[in-house]
Amino acid sequence: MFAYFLDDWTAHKRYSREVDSLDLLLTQHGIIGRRIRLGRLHDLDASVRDCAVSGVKTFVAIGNDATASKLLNSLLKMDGYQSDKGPTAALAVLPIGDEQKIAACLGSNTVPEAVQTLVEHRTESIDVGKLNNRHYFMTMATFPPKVSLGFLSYTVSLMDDEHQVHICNTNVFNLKSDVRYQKSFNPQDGMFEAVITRRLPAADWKQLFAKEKFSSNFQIESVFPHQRITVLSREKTISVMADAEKQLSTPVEVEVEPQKLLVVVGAKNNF
Amino acid sequence: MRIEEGENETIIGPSVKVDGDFISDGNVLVQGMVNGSLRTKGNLRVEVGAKIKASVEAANAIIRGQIKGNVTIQENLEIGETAAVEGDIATKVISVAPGAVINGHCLVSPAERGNRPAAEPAVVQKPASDRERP
Repeated sequence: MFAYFLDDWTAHKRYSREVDSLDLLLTQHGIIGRRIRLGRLHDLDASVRDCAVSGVKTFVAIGNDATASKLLNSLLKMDGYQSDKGPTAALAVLPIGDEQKIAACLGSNTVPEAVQTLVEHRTESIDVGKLNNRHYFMTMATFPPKVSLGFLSYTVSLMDDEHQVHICNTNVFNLKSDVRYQKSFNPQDGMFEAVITRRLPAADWKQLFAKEKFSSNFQIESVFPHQRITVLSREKTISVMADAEKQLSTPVEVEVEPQKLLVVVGAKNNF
Repeated sequence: MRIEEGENETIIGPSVKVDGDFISDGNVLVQGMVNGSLRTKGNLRVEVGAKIKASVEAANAIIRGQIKGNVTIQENLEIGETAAVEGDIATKVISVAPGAVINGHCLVSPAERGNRPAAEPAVVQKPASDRERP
């Protein structure tokens, strides 16, 4: 049984064609379910609880990374989500709009691909990151410049402000083809990688405004695999992009929760 | 000895400074600065431009940068022509390229060094003086 959570902005006429084609595909494949529209005042936690009680086993976010992040956090915070046999419900994403790192990671790059993924319904348990013991993220958390990293017995500081810290759970930089990183960025290994990158200057104006090729804008310089990392900053609160933007008080404690989330993955998944 | 590029798990890049006791189970590539101590059960590669002020322990190592501190390598140590090591070295097998700078004791023997303290130089017996001779 499915429950579809549509973000409020998907009602905009700009996305009407994508939403209509999505409705058609879902009807054609016979995987219609409960539809819940996420307004600004909507109590998502209550809706997720209600769906779980009524026997929903697949929670589908229709929207972008922010939509999936909201649903993922509600799902993981729900009482009884973890049973003795593992997670009790799966998360899937149907991509509408920009910023689709989660959908890309699950192998649901386009609406037809995502619907096919839902139909096949292959599930995998993956690790999730947890920020300040409160906010969960699936792909990666990007921190602002001028932060340093604290590990169990050592600290890592950046020597200039050109660099940025990302804590990656999945292979968002698309580096599996690079032999140097073949063992890294696996969301099922119980570890994540603290990555320090340098932003490359745009070669031309086309690249400056390109929405795609996120990974090509950064050059990876340092990689520290770990399970628990403290991010230190001189600021009291910092803005962290962890699937969606979050304001967090410092120091930010980041820890991995192994095999915590069940996701529906397609053939082109990025694990 | 060869340490393949794909084997690196931890990369300490050129823009980074590590302070404290760095401990790892995997392979480590150092291009930046490390102060404190650096210990790994895997292989270590210190690139040109890297500056380590720390005692270093690893299974195998290739050194092409600067190290100020004692170096203990369980198996093979390769010191490149751009390397500068200020400290005592203990290893089983060593190869030193022409141009490398080493300032310290160097202990190379195939003996087991698991229980031996880091890079402790061998005790040299003084020859008996004339007065002591019968």
